[in-house]
Amino acid sequence: MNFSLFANMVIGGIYYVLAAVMVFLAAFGIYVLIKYGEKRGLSLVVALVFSFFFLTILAQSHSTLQNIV
Amino acid sequence: MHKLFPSQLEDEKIYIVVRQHWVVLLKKLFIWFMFAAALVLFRRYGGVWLPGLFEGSIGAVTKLFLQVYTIFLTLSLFLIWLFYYLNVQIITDRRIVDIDQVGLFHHEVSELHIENIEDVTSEVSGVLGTVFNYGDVYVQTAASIERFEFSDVPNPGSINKLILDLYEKIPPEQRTNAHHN
Repeated sequence: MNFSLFANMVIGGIYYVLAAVMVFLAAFGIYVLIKYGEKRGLSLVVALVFSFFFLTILAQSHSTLQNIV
Repeated sequence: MHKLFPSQLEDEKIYIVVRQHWVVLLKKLFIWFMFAAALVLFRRYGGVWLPGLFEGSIGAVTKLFLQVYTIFLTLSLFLIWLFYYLNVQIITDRRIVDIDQVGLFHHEVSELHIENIEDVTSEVSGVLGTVFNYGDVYVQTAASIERFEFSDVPNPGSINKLILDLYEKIPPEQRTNAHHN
């Protein structure tokens, strides 16, 4: 792409910081849900469905980032 | 046996497990929906308002921004449901248990034994609360200054009555509070 090295670093840096924070919150949310959830089956199903969508979009965004930088 | 709260006894009878009314969840989902609608509108009309936004290098950055925003939306939807699901009040034949997931890193379990109850108040307020019959239940104890609060629960009057009925089942000599006898 047509960005300078500095711009690429800024875009990549912001992306990785945001992604790291959101992955941490998602992982901890799943942990809390499974630990404290009243119905184990429901908690697991919700955790799996959420993880699927979350990781799919995360993978897409990472692919987009690699096309940019 | 899967315990609903850590100190649950084998022979303890659960009368009710209550969460916030679904209207309260719906209000939060409505705010989430506004943010989701902003994404859809931006995708649909962003290129019209700002020509070139979805083209070339800038277009790739815009696409990345929208994908990160979508991740944020997915995460926030999960967290809205998580807090709704993990904030629960349980009434058993022995106690009232208030389980609060205050934040992602703060889990709180408060218990109140039925015999320590001094006063129970239910409150329905607002248009939605009146129409859908949800509101707050406050349980005051003899021992503690802080009162138990059930926020935005469905049928607060029924919960109030249930707590008082359970209190009435306690033999008078076991009750902490004398003036209810």
